[in-house]
Amino acid sequence: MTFVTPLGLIGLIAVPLIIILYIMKQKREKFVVSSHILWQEVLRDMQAATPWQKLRKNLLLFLQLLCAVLIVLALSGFALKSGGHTSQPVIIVIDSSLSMSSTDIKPTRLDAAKKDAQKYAGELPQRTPVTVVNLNREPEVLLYGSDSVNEIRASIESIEQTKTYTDVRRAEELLLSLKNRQPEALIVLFSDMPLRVGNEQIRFSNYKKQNDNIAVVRFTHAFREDGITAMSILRNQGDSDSEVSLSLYGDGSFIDSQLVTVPKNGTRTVWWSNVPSSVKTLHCVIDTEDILEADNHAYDTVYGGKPVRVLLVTEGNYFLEKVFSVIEGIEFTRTLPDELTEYKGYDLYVLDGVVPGKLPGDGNIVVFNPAANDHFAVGGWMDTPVIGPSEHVIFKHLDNPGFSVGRTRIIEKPDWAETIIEYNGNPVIFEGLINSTRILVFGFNIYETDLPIRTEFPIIISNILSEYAPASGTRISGVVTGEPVRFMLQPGTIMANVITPDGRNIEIAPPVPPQPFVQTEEPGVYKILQDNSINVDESFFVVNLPDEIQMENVEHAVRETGGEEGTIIPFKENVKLFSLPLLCAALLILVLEWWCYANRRYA
Amino acid sequence: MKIIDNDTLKKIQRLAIKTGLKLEGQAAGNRKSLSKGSSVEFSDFREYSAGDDFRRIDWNAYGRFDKLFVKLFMEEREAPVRIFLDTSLSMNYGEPEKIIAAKRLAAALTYISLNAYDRVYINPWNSRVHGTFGPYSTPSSFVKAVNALETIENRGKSNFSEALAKMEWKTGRGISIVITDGLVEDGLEEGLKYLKYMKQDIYLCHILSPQELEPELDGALELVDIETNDIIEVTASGELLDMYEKSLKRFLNNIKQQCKKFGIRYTLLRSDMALEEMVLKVAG
Repeated sequence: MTFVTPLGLIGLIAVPLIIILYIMKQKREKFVVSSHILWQEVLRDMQAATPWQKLRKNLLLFLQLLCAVLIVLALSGFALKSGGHTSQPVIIVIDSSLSMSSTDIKPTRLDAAKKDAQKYAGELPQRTPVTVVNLNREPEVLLYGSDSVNEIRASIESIEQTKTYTDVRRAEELLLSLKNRQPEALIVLFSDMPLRVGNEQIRFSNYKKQNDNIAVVRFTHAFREDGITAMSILRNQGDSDSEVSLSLYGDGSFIDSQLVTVPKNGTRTVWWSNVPSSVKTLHCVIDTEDILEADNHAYDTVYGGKPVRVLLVTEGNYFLEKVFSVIEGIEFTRTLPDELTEYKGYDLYVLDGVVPGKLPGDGNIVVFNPAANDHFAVGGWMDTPVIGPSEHVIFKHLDNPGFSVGRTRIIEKPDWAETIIEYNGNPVIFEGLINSTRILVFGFNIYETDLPIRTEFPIIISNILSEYAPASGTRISGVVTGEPVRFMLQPGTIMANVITPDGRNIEIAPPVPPQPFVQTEEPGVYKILQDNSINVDESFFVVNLPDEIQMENVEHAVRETGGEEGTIIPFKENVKLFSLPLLCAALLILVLEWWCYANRRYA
Repeated sequence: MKIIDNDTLKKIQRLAIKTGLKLEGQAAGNRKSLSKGSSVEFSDFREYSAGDDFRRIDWNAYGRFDKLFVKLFMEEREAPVRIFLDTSLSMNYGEPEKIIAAKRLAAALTYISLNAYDRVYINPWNSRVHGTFGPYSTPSSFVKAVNALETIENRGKSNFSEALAKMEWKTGRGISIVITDGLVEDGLEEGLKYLKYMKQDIYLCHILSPQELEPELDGALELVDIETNDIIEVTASGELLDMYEKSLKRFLNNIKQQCKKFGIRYTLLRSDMALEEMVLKVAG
């Protein structure tokens, strides 16, 4: 037996109150009769007719007391625990991703989920092993198989709201792993999104009460002749069209505002023209309130100044020339190895079939089909190496990272290098750092691959530019909250700091190159300060919220192609509430009391 | 309090004369009785039968009809009439009060009896008999009787058998008129039985008020017994009144049965009845 809202028991003070009122009930009117002889006979007759009539004098009192107690029990959420003797292990999974900060359930979905989870855990039979999992971008087990009530409570309480999306795949892997260890465990999910874990049953407590949320899901800009044109994409998740006010700020100052209507369950693209070219950061915000305020903001960085200078040194490589020449925002130069006297003045050197004896000091280097040189040993040829997938940054955004290579150089991996792709112990692609100059080496001639004819080719080149062109080393884009950021500091930088949107100053260098920056939990504009002992260079990058719906949907889509189908079953509390039957009983007793009063013989 | 005014008295006189109202009994009195006997006033003839007093044979009639006839004469008797008037507090109840109706009835019956030259005694009682008023034996003593009735006060609770048991009176045949509401502790039966034992011809005048016969109650009430001040809490309802009605019927039937058993003339009267109607019902 338990009480869902024990505060309701305060109502029990009604019981003595009723008794007092009964005692102080209205005085009866005196009525003189000639004798009691006849009346006593009447009373005797009535008592004989109903043996319980002796109790009848106080029957109304008893009924009122019973009615009051029943109402109080109903208000206090009188409930009986069900399945009270089983101790089936339970895995409590609480979603703390961005959408759980929605306020359609007060104060937030996460607060409500935590409260329900605490209640659920509290109602579990004693000695039930409970595992607590926090679900977000990096799902983690907070507590494993504990039957300590205090530990469980503390563990659930420790879950904090994040501004990331739920990594569905990792969540599934984690839960499956837990389930393997505790096959009989019951998974109870407190989230605003159902989750399928293999073919396991999941008890799902849904916190999506409504979906009237409009978010800025994309925000970018492009340079035009007359300035900068920015583009915002808004998405309406609700079931009705919504008109919202949208504002644009540049470096914190107001630029423009628009009133736009976003169709239900659809998107609306909003263009902003004539944005001043001088701005460095842009901030787009939906002024109209909705259930999730955080995703009403989007940020973008405007990178101006001199373009990235790229030098291609080659005897002639049509594919590389073509791909670099079509990339916007770079100043591309091609030269023959013999024409070049000094490697200087470029942000990125792309060397095709040549490696200079003295490496340039002002830019990073990408080498294709390396010739023999002083920096690493280059041997003969290895035929048809298999190029497998890689997580390296130059292969990001690729649907199909594999490609075919006819032959590749046999290269001995130098100590300063890290292999990116290898075949039979031979590095096919590797990278390293020599005197603060980064070198990326492809062991093959691009002509002897199918890479140039694949759609992934320009993407790989673009990734290389983003990663290795020093001038764009701090041009960081597409960062979402919680994601680590790798900085490519300018050569000569001896100290670097990041100032976060909430004003924290975090030192990221030394060491050089810096460790990935992980304090990206806040969306907004981050400032990077690079000190090369002569001057301090200031640049920006922005962190935006993830488009949680899209990311989770993509994950689900990927999952569903796997063919496995779990079962989502509605959440059921461990207790059986009796509020409704109690209220019905109270009502019946009221009717009975009324009947007794209306048909009273004497009181 | 004047219980009989001149108009009412005249009405009773007329009633007594016109209708020949009389009280029947075994005791001889100075008035015509239905009993035929040897008084001076001739009443009728009948054929002689063995055992008759041959001195009463009418020889003139024998000469004319050749049959023996016996002369019958109205027997004259002196009947002591005792009026037992219930003066307990319960008789103060009702609208009009039962005691008013009872005293007026007692006065009327006294008048009728005095006109028949009967001796009349009036005995007020509750749990004991509070003295004997009378005897009143001449019509002129009626005023005294009325005065006596007017002075009688109601008090206490009633117990008929106990009251009679403590009473000292001269034994002998007579007529007893008991005027009461019957709401008597331990009932009337023992008292009536005692009167019967005392060779009394008994008239029981049972007076109840309209409020007792058809009570009108409403709401939550404390019923206060006028004699004892005891309280019973009731909440009036149709069912309660139904039960009361049944109880009342049983009560009345019980008294009727007792009267029938002892040969008592029972009359149920309402306190709001006209006096003439009451007299006719009792003596008519």
